[in-house]
Amino acid sequence: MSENDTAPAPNSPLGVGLDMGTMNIVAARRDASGVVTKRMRDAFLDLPAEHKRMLKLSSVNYVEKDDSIIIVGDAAYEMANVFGREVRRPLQAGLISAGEMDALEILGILVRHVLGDPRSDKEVCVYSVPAAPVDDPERDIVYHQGILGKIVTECGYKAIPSNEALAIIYAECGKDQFSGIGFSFGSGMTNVALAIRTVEALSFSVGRGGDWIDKGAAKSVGATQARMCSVKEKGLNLLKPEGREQEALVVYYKNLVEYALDNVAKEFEKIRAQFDMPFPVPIVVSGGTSKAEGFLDFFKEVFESKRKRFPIEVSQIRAATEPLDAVARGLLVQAVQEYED
Amino acid sequence: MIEAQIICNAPVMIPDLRLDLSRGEEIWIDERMARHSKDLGKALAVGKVKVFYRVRDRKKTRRMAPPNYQRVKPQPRVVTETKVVETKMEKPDTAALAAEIKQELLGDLKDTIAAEIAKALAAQPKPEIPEAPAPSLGAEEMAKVMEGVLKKHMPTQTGGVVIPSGRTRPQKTEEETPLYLPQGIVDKDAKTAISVQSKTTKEGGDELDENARLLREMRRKRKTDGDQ
Repeated sequence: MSENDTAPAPNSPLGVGLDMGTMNIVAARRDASGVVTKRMRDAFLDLPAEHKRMLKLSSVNYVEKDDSIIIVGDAAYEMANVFGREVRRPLQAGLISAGEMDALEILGILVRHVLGDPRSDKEVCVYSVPAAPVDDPERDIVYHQGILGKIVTECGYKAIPSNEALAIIYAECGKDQFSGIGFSFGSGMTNVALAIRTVEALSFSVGRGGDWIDKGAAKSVGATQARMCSVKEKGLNLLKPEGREQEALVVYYKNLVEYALDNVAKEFEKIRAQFDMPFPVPIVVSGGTSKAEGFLDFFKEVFESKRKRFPIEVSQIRAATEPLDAVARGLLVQAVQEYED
Repeated sequence: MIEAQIICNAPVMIPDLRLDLSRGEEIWIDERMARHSKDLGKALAVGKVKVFYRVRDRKKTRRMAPPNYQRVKPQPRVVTETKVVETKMEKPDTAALAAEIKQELLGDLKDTIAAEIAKALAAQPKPEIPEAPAPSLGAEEMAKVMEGVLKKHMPTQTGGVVIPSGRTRPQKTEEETPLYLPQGIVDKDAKTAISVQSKTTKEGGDELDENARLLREMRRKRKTDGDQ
């Protein structure tokens, strides 16, 4: 492989965490110098083979396949604008699309490059799996989990699946005895998990995320989804929106947070009798969608309007230290603890 | 049936009908008797009575039975006769009775001894027995126990559709649901030119190690508690 891999120190702990998101693939490892994270955009674009020469010169990431060249990662977005095309994504709304055989092959290559070679035989790799969506029971996570497990195994690792939102609690709630509510506001979906002293009490996902915000806001102002995504990424302050487009985005952000909180209350009511909440728990928000400016205060504001009816006593609301890496770090915690001292 | 309605206008006696009527009184008699009574004819002639021959319906309107009422035929009353059977008193076996009384007395003595021994034991100090830990099953343990019980008692399902719910544990569904996974997804010989962004964060490494250690300890403790 030609990537700029840093050789791990011989004494660094084994294990790797792999976060498979709709927008990004992130791998986290423990190194002697700290935590090493590798990230790649989960997107690709196929072009005719004649563009190969040009691509070599521009040093973009690509894969040669039969008579075509497939651009992968961030460059796929840039090239899509140049050629007036739409990028393809191996994951749709958080899950692998069963009909995309090409996408699987590309996903396999992306994962192999992000993970790198295992440092020992069957090194443990804990990979993220979303919980089944409560608002779309037709969507199946079984295939998604199976395919990812297969890819990780084919890369030479021992694959262990783990819940995406639970990983946030493992990364951020060590001082709270691994008790808390983790919100992973991703691009394709929002994952939620409640854990009490490491035990997963509740986990679910809703089929709304960053893409849903872009789509809804675009429809309401008569713009394209790509345009709204661009407005969002250029810098959107949720507490001080400017102009119609930003205001529309804020409306959908608010709806997303309310929807996630309402579903926590609804799902918790189903299991209330089984669990004794011994103490108030913190809420940790994470994910790419939570990177918008003022998101934490915005979330707190929405939560305060619902606190009286919220069935779980909340001690604190905080943002993950690294919103894009929190899931991968939590998965790494699980991978490292698989090895005995 | 036709009857005669006699309405009295003034006090009058009708001897052949044995009637003594006062003013305003009204009686009904059989039509034949009225037609054959000479005294009634005389009273009618002088205007002391009025006679009307009318058809009177004597049938009573029957009450409607309540809905869904099932009429039960009256059952003949069963009369049981009590017979007095005389039994001859047997002469009691005094020896057997004595043996029985003796046995009962011995039983009482045993009970008394047992009660005394129990009192003596209760007076002694109790050996300290550590209290059994209260079962604190978490969601996963509870699910495992439930699963075990259900598997034991429920018949094995051989077919059907698995509908994923909001709380499906993905780790378990993989084992239970048949799934086709294509082989050789990762093409290791593919010609690629890929460079991956890498970032090293110095802070957070120790916290991560500490979290891993805590998680390992807590999981181990849970496992030990579960085994006990």
